[in-house]
Amino acid sequence: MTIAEPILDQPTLCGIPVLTSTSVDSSPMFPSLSSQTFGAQHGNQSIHNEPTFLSHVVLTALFTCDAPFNKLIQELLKLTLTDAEHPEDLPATQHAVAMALYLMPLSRLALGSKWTAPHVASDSYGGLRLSWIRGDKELRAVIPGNNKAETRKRYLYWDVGEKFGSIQNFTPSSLAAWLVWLKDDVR
Amino acid sequence: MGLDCNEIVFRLALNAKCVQPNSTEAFLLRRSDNGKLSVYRFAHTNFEDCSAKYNRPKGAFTLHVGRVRTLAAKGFQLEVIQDESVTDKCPGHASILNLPDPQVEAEVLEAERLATLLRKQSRQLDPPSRPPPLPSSPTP
Repeated sequence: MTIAEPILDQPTLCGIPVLTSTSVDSSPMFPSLSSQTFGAQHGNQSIHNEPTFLSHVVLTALFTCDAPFNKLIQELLKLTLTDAEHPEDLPATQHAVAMALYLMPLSRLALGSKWTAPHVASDSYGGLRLSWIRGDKELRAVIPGNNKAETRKRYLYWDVGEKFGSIQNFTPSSLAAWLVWLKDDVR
Repeated sequence: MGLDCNEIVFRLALNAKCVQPNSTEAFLLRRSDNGKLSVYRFAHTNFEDCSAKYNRPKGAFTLHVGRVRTLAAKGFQLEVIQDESVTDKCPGHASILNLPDPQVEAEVLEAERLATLLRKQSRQLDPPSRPPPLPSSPTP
């Protein structure tokens, strides 16, 4: 999408900059995203599992007024800033934040009041780590800072007692399913 | 040189994100770690003295060297060695070796598992409290 005139004020919703049809290419939040980002670049395997860019935008806009999700977005955005106390750590990239915002909303919808915000941290390489713990169950969603071929893929790690495992290239639906597992009393 | 199994070491948590209850970040290799986890030996220094030389650590985790050595996952057998250099801020610097790299696709599972186990066997120390401000001198 192209912009006929410069946007003077970034539109916000609940204090968070949001995307509109005229600001997609210039948003400071997602400057590198295009309609191709969540589609063909991810390979044929997962195209039909991932939403179009427009639905991603709509979902993000909708969830910014949801208090727990709004808090999560604010925390994610904070991680994109350089930490003055640890300048050697790379801040989270916009790609990582955008990917987190693509992966998370479905679980918020699926779990409703059982949804809890993850503990979020940067991985010091530009990626993000989202962690949940409940009793002896643990779940971590780890998102890399870019989608280059040589970078390791995003993964889910789960751990309960002596059992553990990981799922590469998880989707919003697999994240939602594992969060249901986390909240479930059955092991 | 490997440390005695009876020794206790502590890892400083310099980032507030590392001291959250469900956080394993303190036990995963980060960009600045150069492939080994930095710890200090309680036999040579303590958290309070060491904290004063770092920029406001948010906490610390103690580990028993012998128990750390029991941890292994798919060929990654952890070891704790003396690792002092002239640039160390505190005496008694040591390193935990053989940790998998969470940035390497083939080592992700073991890195997460070992970080989980290290966190579970660690004990968290709160940052030392700052001395209370001096009372203002009474005005005559």
